[in-house]
Amino acid sequence: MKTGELYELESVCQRIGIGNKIAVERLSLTGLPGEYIEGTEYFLVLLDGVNVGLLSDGTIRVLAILIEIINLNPSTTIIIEEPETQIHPGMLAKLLNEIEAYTFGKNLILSTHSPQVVAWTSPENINLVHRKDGQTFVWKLDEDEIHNVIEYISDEGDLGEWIYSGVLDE
Amino acid sequence: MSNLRIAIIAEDDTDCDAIRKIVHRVLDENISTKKWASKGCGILKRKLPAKIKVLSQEGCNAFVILHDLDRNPQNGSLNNESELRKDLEKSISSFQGIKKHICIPIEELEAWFWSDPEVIKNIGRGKGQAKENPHKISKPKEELLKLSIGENRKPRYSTNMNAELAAMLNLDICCDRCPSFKALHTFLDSLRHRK
Repeated sequence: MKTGELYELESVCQRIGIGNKIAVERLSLTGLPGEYIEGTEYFLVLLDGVNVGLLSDGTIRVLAILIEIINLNPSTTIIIEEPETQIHPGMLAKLLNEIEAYTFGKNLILSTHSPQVVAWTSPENINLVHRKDGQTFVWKLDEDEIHNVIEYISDEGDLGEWIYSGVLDE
Repeated sequence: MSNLRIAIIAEDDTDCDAIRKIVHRVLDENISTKKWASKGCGILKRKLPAKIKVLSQEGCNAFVILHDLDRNPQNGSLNNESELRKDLEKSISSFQGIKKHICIPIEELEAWFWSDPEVIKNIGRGKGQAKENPHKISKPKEELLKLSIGENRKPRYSTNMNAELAAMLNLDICCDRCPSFKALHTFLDSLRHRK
């Protein structure tokens, strides 16, 4: 990761409230036990003074996704599998806002089992996946279903509730 | 010490955070607030009466209810503002005598940021121009995102920054250019004597 991107990551961490300061320290391994590759430099990465390896699983997951989206090439398609895993719902909402910003105008494929993540997108972007008799089927909502869900979202609930309500089972 | 406690009800946390910042700027940093982010417009409508009741029980004596004026995703047309206001008013009509304001930005709160040249300069790193009529912008949030994308194709804006932008927003210019913001400001001003 380049220095500029590290500052960018730090700035995003600040605005989502995950930490304030990212520091990178070069490790001096001379005389320490262990196997090291000759000529390789080793660094310690700290978030607010804590070794990133010692952070909670959820925090590490958020950082991993942020690093990926910050380093996107303009023509990249990004694939994120279940961004919700191990992440607090409040933090997930903030992470989704950053994903929305960093993938704007780009191709994003995101798999999820989370009503919160489903509710974040629009019905026309949903591809439903199910497996039957050893085969995987993928389909999109048809126009009537989209019409129904828009009414539901406007007056009753959200897209996540609707998708997981069982209304599409059969 | 003030006995004013303002409930902020909106569709998501970033909207609540931005409104809280504006409440504190217009009134006083020490005004107590409580928020409820409904995570969607349908849920806001459906649960509004229950939430008003709960927030009243928690000591809130003034309510700001923020609801975007969305577009119909199928035909792109803006929904009807007066109908939406009527629906929201009706859903809480049983709460007589409460101090409340239903704020309906067109089409999103992010339109307010388009009123202020300094905010736009900040997001666009010098490019982009503030608008005289921000409520006429289609998809103002998306337009902020587009404006913020620099030569390196990276965005400088996400909705997580809404409270930060609300802190720098020129309130006078926004009042002049955004009727929904002016109405909110007027409501907050009316609460001064209750502080």
